[in-house]
Amino acid sequence: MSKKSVGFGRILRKYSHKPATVRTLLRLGLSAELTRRRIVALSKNTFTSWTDYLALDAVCGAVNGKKTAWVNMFFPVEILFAFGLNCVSAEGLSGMFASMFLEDLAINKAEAFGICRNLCTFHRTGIGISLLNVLPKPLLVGTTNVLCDGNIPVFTTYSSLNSIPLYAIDVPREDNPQNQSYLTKQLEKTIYSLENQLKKRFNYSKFQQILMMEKESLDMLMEEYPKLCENPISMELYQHVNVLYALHLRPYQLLNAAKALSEERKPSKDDKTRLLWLHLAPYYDNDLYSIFGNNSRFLIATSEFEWDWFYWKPDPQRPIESLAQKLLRNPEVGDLSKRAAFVTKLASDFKVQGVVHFSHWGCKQSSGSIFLLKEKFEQLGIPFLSLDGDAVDHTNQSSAQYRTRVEAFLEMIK
Amino acid sequence: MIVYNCPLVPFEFFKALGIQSRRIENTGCEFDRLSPNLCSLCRRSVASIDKNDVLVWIDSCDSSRRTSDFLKLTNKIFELHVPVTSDEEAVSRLSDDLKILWRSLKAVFGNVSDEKLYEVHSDFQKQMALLEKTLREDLNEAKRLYEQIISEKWVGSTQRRGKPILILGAPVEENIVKIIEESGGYAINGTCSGPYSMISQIPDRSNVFKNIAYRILNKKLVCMRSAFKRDISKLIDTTKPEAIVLHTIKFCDFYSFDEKELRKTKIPFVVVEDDLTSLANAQMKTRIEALIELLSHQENGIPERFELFVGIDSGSTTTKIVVLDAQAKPLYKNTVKTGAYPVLTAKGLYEEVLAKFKVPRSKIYLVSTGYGRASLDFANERVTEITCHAKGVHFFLPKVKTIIDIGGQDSKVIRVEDGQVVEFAMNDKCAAGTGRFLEVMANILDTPLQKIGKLSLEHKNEVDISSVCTVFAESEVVSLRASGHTREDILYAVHKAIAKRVGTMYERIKGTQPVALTGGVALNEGLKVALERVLNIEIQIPPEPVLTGAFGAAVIGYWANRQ
Repeated sequence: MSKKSVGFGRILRKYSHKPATVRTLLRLGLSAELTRRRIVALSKNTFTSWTDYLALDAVCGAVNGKKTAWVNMFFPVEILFAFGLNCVSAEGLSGMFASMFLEDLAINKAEAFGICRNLCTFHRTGIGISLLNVLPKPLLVGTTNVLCDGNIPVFTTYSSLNSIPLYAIDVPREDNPQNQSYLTKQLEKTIYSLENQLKKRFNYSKFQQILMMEKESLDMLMEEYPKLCENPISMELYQHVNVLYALHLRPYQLLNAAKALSEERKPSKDDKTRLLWLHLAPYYDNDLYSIFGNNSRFLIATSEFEWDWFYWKPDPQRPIESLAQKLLRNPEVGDLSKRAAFVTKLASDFKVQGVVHFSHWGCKQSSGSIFLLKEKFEQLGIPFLSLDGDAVDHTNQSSAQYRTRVEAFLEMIK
Repeated sequence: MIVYNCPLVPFEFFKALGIQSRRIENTGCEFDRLSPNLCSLCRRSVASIDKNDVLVWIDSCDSSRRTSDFLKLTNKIFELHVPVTSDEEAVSRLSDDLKILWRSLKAVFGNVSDEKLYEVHSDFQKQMALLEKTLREDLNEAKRLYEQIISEKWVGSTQRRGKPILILGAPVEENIVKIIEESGGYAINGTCSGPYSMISQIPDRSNVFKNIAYRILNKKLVCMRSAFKRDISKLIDTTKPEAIVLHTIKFCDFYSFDEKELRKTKIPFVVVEDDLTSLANAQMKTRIEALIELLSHQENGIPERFELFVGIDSGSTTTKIVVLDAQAKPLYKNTVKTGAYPVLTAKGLYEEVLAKFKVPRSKIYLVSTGYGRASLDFANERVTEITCHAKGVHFFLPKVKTIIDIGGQDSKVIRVEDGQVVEFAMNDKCAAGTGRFLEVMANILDTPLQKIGKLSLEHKNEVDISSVCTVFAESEVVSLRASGHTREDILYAVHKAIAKRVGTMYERIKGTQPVALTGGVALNEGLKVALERVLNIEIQIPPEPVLTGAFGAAVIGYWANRQ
């Protein structure tokens, strides 16, 4: 998500007609960057240095191509990790292409394949990447029908393009015991089908271990929550995106990050204007990065996907039921009132003075009824900006428009 | 009144309760509190709901869910989660939810025994089986049954007259059926506003709720929300269409995914994107007519002898006329601005021809084409510009296999075999990739439109315009100028941007060489070069590329007369 990525993308573009070369270059480039991030994390040992590393790890597996599963952000990856698979975020892959300004290659490919322009660019780019043939074939793909239902046809397409199995999990929108047991049964069935596909017994104790590690990390983060509310850590906008990938795709590797968080912060009062960021942020280098950079007068105190596990307590003793609960207790799953209650809580806990909702092109589930969300915040006296843009396709936005709208909003609340 | 959003509802409940029901419908009026990125059908159907209506709402898609966020504020609403999977667990889950819904509806509309529900359900099952049978045999009877079973209006043809055209995708209304019938086909409605979406497998279980759940989850044509179970091949096998219209709705994520399946069938098809406006209706008409023309070679014998064959292309920017003699030798051509009154402009051109050649009208065969073709009621025949371009190019360059036509307001890539359209892709939704894009850019760069192509070839450095949107590209051009790039370099970038946009369509229909470029923009040498470089092909330009459509129209008249 920096000039460096764009430069690397420029080199890859030159070889776009040679998928094998792009694959080799990607493998070399990403492995080097992953090693660099790991060294930085080990030496700096800060929360963000660890989450930066984990977020890249969530896409890197795709280029190495060993025992990979492409999944959406809410798929219960813990199960796949227990099988020894490497989970790769399909949305993250699109983001990676965007950070290198290469998403247009994939999008054009998807369009030529007949995918319509209304479809969210995460999905379009993902399908295009599959068609570009620059990544090794995954072993399987897995998706839930949350948060968005575009996932089902998109992952069906991945599955048919690569002739690999699809594991689809139907998540009802209400959290009640019946739905919990329904979801639990589906997860059990998924495990059974995976055993058959992989010809491997499910390692239940490893699975419990994973949940235990996840619990330990999340407990630590939860303990930090009140302190973070008082004194949020300063991050670049793209680092907020990295946090959500680390949390959703590498949930059992968060321990270093969580420990670093509890140790690193020094209580110091700042006079920055605090904002809450809703939904996603662009993955490509753009004006918003500089507006909300570390030197800005404005601080993105937190973003909603950093805490969407807030109402869930992992239970390693009943791991499958617990993962069913994880999905159902996610406040983003369900009607607007659940999400509204959650994000207004974040706003008041973090004492923000404004809210920016990045309304990603083609994302119906997040922005469909945004008008009502805006009203909720207005009732609380918190100004709300719905910023239309595209998190992936850098050609579907205008930097100047981002700047004008955001700056006017910031002038309004200062 | 019960209002529902999606035919995955348990119709049996409504019948057992004896309550009238209807599906939400497009009112033409947008509910502007819903985001403009939401499905047009949801935005346009909120107004069809009265505050006293009781809503049974399926969480069928993201747009439906977000719509219900609003409806909860005004109406009594019962939401139902219909699983995307259909295994035993899904059936049990839905069955339990149905029980709850049944109880809730009884609390509102009065108590009815479960036995009554069982009776209604058995009857429903029988009628469904009958519907499936009559769909093969007697469409009028099928219509009667369908309307009786679910109390919705039948949308589709009732006579098997002309070519069978299957409609797939998002729910359609009468307008598309009408377009198909007027173009010489009959419409088989395979969307969820038609009967095929109702046909289901039904097991005979003792539990009525499980039965209904099973029926809902095991439709023979599954909705795209459960994409991994959707298989359109059976419906295609049963209905044996000669062509398929894939109807997608603006900002509906689902149905464009059928396109890749249709590609495997070798049946000609067209994808239409509907935002439920009259403009979309006109655009769909062009595509559907072209599809049906593609099926027939238009070889109906014409008894009279004609002396002149006239083609009029009533385009959005200019109106063109071409006159051929009885041996198909070009006699006359003319181009004028279309202006505000396209019919009068076309009539004026035609009157000039009548005056010039002094041939009685009865001896002239006139074919109209272009966006205004339907309004030219004095024409003998109306043919879409897609077919006309194919015929026009074939007349001059018979070996051409792909035609790129860039007009003022739209662009098309057409694959042809011996002058016959095989496949086409069309962009008429945005200015990117059209002549309008060049006009806007010429204007910002303060350069006459006629010169931009030549100037672009004098570029020294390669720069890129990344935006596909005309408005964003405009601001990019402004900043490129500000950062000191030469006009020539920027112009080349502008031409490359169009070429890339058109390139996607070229790839989509698997264009092959030789390739011809037509339309007003074909005279722009810069664009020809940019297209050649981007697509790595050689391009030929027919004589008078602006007139290709009108030529094609006249040629169609000539060939029809020769038969």
